[in-house]
Amino acid sequence: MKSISLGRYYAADSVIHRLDPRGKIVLTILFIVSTFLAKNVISFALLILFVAALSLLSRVPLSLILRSLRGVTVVIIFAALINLFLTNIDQATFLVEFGEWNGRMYGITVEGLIRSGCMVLRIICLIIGTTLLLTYTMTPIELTDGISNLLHPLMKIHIPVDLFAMMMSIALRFIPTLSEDAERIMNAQKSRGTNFSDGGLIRKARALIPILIPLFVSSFKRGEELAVAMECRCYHSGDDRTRMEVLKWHVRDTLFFLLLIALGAGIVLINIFFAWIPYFTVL
Amino acid sequence: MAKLELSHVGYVYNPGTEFSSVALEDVSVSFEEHAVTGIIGHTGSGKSTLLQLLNGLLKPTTGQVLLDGQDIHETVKAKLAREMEKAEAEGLRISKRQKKKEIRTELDELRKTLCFRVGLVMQYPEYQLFEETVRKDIAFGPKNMGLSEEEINARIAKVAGIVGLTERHLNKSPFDLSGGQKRRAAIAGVLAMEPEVLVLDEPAAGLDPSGRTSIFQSILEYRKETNATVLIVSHSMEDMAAYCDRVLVMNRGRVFMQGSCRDVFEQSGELEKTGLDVPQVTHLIDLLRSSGIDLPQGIFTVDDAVSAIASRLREGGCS
Ligand SMILES: Nc1ncnc2c1ncn2[C@@H]1O[C@H](COP(=O)(O)OP(=O)(O)O)[C@@H](O)[C@H]1O
Ligand SMILES: [Mg+2]
Repeated sequence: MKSISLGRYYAADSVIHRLDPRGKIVLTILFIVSTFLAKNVISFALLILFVAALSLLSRVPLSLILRSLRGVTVVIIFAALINLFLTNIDQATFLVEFGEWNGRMYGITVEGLIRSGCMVLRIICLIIGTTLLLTYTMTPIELTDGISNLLHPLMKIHIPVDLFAMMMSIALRFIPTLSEDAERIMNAQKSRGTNFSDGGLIRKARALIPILIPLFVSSFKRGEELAVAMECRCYHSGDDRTRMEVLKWHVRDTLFFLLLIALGAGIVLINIFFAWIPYFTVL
Repeated sequence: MAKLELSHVGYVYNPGTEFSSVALEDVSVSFEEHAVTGIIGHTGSGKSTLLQLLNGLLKPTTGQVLLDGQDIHETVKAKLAREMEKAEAEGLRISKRQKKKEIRTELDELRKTLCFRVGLVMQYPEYQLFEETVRKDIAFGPKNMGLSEEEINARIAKVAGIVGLTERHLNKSPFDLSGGQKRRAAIAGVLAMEPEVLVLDEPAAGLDPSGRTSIFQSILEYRKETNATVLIVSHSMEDMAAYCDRVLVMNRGRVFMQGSCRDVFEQSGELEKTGLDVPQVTHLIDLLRSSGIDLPQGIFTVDDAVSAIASRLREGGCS
């Protein structure tokens, strides 16, 4: 109903959405490792193919996928420029020469161009792949569930993983509620003539007091009410708690797992067998 | 004359995103000066959105909101063009620069004072309490208006009387009050700004019957003292019939009906189409009428019903 889309989950019914969250978290780690292993044009092609297939399968619209890159535009441009101008190799082929400095030639080189291109591709694949797997196709609650499941063995050494997971889920659940509260309180104080935009820093900070105090009060009240409600339904933590939606490992999860292992292995093999294709390790 | 007027107002939340939702569509209404207007409608019919447009919290996506005939969001340029045209038609010659300056100060002043002139009491206003004492909290609005200390104290005393808070309550922390007292303290905070138009979003929601009555009594008393224009959103048809002169019925973001209480409640069939109801006592009278007892139509309050039935009994000589 409200405009808050936490973690920007995109609701759709796709294979990727249905994958087991535990699997997806491990897959993401494998995927990140793979992107960093990719070292030449062929392995990048493989990586791009994989990301493209993932995007298609997930049914997330392209515009939304591209939007995930908006936040890292600066990083991408910065990485591209650094690699373009600071690639430092003997006998580089210069396209444009800027001049010498400290006995070194600076300019745009073929090698620099290739490396900068690879770097950009790597960041793009990394961002698109991870946002698709972790945020667009997985709700924050699923993510918490997955993580707590994966960390479950830590319970053996008395780390209360399930409590942390519960705290995390509750926090996630209440972010939209709190932001609604904040908006409502802000509107109420604006109606009484608070001015948030005028004045110096101190005046602006003081203008926040009428918002923060009611917000704290209502959060504590909500927390208390929730605690009572949970206790009334006999909430307790521990090993004997069952869950409503039991995570199940399906054939499709195994298939995707194998696919990613294949991707990683493929990239490593390509790196070994096509070592003659030029690539220059990053700085 | 219409104190407040909406002209073809539309409002869309989050326009241009996948979450966009149309809250109001082509709403044109005018609220008469000094009248008490009740606004009814289902949850989600756009009542709260409408109220927030009136004091400038929200800006209409389309259409205008006019206070005393002045569009509250009019730009300096638009108003200047309008005034120049008017002057020309009257054959007057005025300095454009001088006029522009005048208009700018006028519109700035309007924008700054708008929330004091149209006082909005939001739904569950007790959430807005934050000061150490009730007295300080009531003073928050008047302080923002830049009033003097004496004036503020005078106003606090006055509104505390209207909403029925004693000296003892005023010195307490607002968080130590009961639910109904908190509500009254919060309403007092808006009344203390002495708005010309008082707008309340479900002021009695969640209160017990005596709490409801005392809230409505305070509102009526404020109106009597200041002659303000009052708008009240409520779900209770009984309250509407008892306290309001006019009723505006909203349905799915549009104006469904408007008129005097009598006009609106007489069309019970139409009202029921939107899932709303006429006051229960009106139902009772209708039932009595259909079973052959001769009672007048158009009775909406328990008091009217009592006197009508009493006079019917006397005439019939039954007792
Ligand atoms: N902050 C908001 N963001 C998005 N949509 C909203 C917001 N507030 C209200 N709406 C939507 O606008 C419509 C009208 O809501 P509202 O004015 O609160 O109705 P009412 O007060 O009559 O219950 C509803 O469909 C509601 O979902
Ligand atoms: Mg509402």
